[in-house]
Amino acid sequence: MKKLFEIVLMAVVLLGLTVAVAAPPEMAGAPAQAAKDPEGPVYRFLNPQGIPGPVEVQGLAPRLDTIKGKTIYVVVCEAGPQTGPFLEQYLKDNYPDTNWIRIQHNGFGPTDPAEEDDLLAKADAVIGGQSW
Amino acid sequence: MEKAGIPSVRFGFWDQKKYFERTALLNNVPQQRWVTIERTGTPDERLYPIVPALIKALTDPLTEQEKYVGTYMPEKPQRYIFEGTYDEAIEFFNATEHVESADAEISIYTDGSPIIPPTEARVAKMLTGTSLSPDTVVTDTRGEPVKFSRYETVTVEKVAIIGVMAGCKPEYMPVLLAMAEQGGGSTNCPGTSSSVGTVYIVDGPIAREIGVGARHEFLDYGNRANVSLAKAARLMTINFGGCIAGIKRTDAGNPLFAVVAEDTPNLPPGWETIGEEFGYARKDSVLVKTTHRGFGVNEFAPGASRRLQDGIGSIADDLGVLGKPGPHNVLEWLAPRVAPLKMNSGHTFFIVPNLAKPIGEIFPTKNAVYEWLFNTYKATIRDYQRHGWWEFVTAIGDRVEGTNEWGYTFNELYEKFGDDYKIPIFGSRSPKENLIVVGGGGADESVWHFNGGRGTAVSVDRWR
Repeated sequence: MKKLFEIVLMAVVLLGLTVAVAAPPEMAGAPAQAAKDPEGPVYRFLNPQGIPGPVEVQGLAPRLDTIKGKTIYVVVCEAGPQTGPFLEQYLKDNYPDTNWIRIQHNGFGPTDPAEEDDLLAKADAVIGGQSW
Repeated sequence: MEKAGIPSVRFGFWDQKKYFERTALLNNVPQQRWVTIERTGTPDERLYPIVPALIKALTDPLTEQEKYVGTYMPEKPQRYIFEGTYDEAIEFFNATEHVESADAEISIYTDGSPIIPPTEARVAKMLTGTSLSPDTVVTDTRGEPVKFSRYETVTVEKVAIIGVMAGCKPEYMPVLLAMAEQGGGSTNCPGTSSSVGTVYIVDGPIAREIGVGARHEFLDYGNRANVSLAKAARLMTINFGGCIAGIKRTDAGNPLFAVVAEDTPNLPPGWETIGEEFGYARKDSVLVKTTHRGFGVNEFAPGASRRLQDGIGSIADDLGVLGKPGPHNVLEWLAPRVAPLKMNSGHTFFIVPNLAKPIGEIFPTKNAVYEWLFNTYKATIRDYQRHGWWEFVTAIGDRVEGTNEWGYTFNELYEKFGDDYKIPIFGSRSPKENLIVVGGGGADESVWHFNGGRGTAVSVDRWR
């Protein structure tokens, strides 16, 4: 009796799996549909969402194998020097084998082209932060 | 940085993550690595603990997804978003998602209140309110497609869909399209914080044609044009740009989202209409989107302003005009009290006609009021340096602005004149950064004051 029960149970499970696999996938591009049978007239409702355009995606730059001996810029944008100086000092104290250079951008101030050129020429990596 | 081949990581506040993700996509590096930092706490509590994660982000090898180079081609939104009964559609558009920063279920398609489901028939009817074809892309005055959230574009049909959802009438379409031209209801999406709710002013013939309220309780509920257009502005922000809580701003939000008209017939004689202030003629229909960073209503005690005009009472005493009948300028009492809120910036005043009338007897034009505000109320640079905006707006005095009316850039001005030099409070470089809107009905108590200038105007006629 127990054996028969196990066979029946397995058959039910297998049947369920077969039905689940065979069920048609949701049609791509089709509007969402109500789950239950509708009552009353059925309408199609227009989509209010904006139209996104294509974006050319750039892969990330290869990572560093180590930060030792590297020059890493710390660029912090904030209303006043609240985070940047603390971060710079902490990094210098705790990772002394790395050359840390901080650039502080306060408020909506302009970026200094010379600073940017310097960073692009010398930086092995950049930690950027925004804290406003 | 990544584009230049320099590995990088960004840190920012946890409630800005959605904003950051959108910005990273727009900068072509959607996989940009990110580390979250808490807003408040000591460096020990919030800053130093994230350092290992920052270094890990610079040294952990890239995943295949992070190496991907190519075109991200998002799926074009389906023309139809739902099929079902009308009642089911109402529920569908009530869908929410849990937003961590809000710790709440936030509506995806609505402002939190139900909408009218946009059937094809309703949208077709809405489209009768403009002569433009449904597939016309909404562009700015330069002919460039308007981008919501700096990314998504929309067509005239999309605007009509929003009009239906918000409960607008077809004749509102030109205003709705002008609203879309100005980027919908957001002033800062994706953004980090603190662009407050938006106030639009509809001016010119269209205001009366469609019944935009300018008088009693014009900022309140009850007028279909005012309320449904304001709702439409929000729905544009939500649907066109995906700007729901967590992506559009990170502060407490703002309750003020309004569309009003100016009470043109009750302007003091000689005062410019809103359209004229922006260089349009009175025959032109115009939509102004104001820009603010905070607001407050300044309500005078009943009869206080009338007593001032009679030369009696406490305000007359404060202004030193006891026993001298008016006209008196109630702004003379108000301006120094609101001035410290925002220095060296445009301010906006919504003034009821009865309060504007005596001001109009003193100043023949709005522009004369702006010049009086600009020239009368000053703060020293030292005052400004004690103000929280100092660091942000001037980059602690380093900001190089455009040349001002005295021929100096900001930083030159600070260095040249020193701390005692006085700068304007109402406006930074021009009196015309300020704005007065006359309206609100027959009372004589209220002046709404907004920190922030007059914003921008676009033609509504272009969209008829």
